[in-house]
Amino acid sequence: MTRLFITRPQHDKGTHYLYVWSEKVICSAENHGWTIDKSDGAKATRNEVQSKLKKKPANFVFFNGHGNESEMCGHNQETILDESSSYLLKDTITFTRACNCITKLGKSAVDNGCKSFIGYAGKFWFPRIHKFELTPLKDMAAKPVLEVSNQIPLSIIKNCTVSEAVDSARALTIKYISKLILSREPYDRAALKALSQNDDSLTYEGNGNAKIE
Amino acid sequence: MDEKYLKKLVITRLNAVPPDVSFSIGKYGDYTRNQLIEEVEKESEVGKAATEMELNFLRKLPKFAKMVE
Repeated sequence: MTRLFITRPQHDKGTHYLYVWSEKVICSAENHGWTIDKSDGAKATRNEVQSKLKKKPANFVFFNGHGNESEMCGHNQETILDESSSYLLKDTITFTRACNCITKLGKSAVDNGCKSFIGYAGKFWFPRIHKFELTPLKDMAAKPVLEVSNQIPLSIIKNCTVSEAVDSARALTIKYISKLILSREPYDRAALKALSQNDDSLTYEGNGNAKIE
Repeated sequence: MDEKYLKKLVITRLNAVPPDVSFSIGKYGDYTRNQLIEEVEKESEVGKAATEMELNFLRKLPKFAKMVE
């Protein structure tokens, strides 16, 4: 059985948006017959995450939240994985929807046997319109940016290689930029900046031909 | 381009974003348009990140223009 392990802390507005937008990825994995293992909200702690990775090895790991060059964080910014525990990603394809993680954590994970680690080398930006705080899926400024980043896990679930998944996200970025750049809608300006910035820092370490067998 | 001009350019471009928009910037947190402008003025870490985002977008603008030709 193919297994997805996903973390979705939800302690601030940014992580709340990522939590809600990740639901589409979970639904897709379920529709493809995958087993889903979640560490949601306050359960996205170091102990829980590392215990789950040890006991139930996943094929695909999808981390949402905040991060830095060498750490991925969970609930209330607790470090859930760092270079010393990156061996727990052995044999997985991993995607971190977080800032900077690929720089050191990604390299360390691949050195320790992770097939491929996808992430952002810089800050992960997204805009949001205040009135949609409680209904993030209706937020037209956030939508293009979070749909592009969702394209990575959705492609991996559909059996694409890591390289194809990244290409697919880039193609969707180009599609959105081509549309938004001609738009007169002021909210689109915010999305354009973030799309362009995130596209520049999206990359992967490890085997680009890796895919879920 | 001198730094004063760049700062003015970035702030002008940020002002084109509606005031009821915030940017989520990872661990830095959430910044409204006006807060982001203040950070650019202060030249803080967040302000520098916002400046880089704007300049990066401007550098790529010719490429984007070709995409819609």
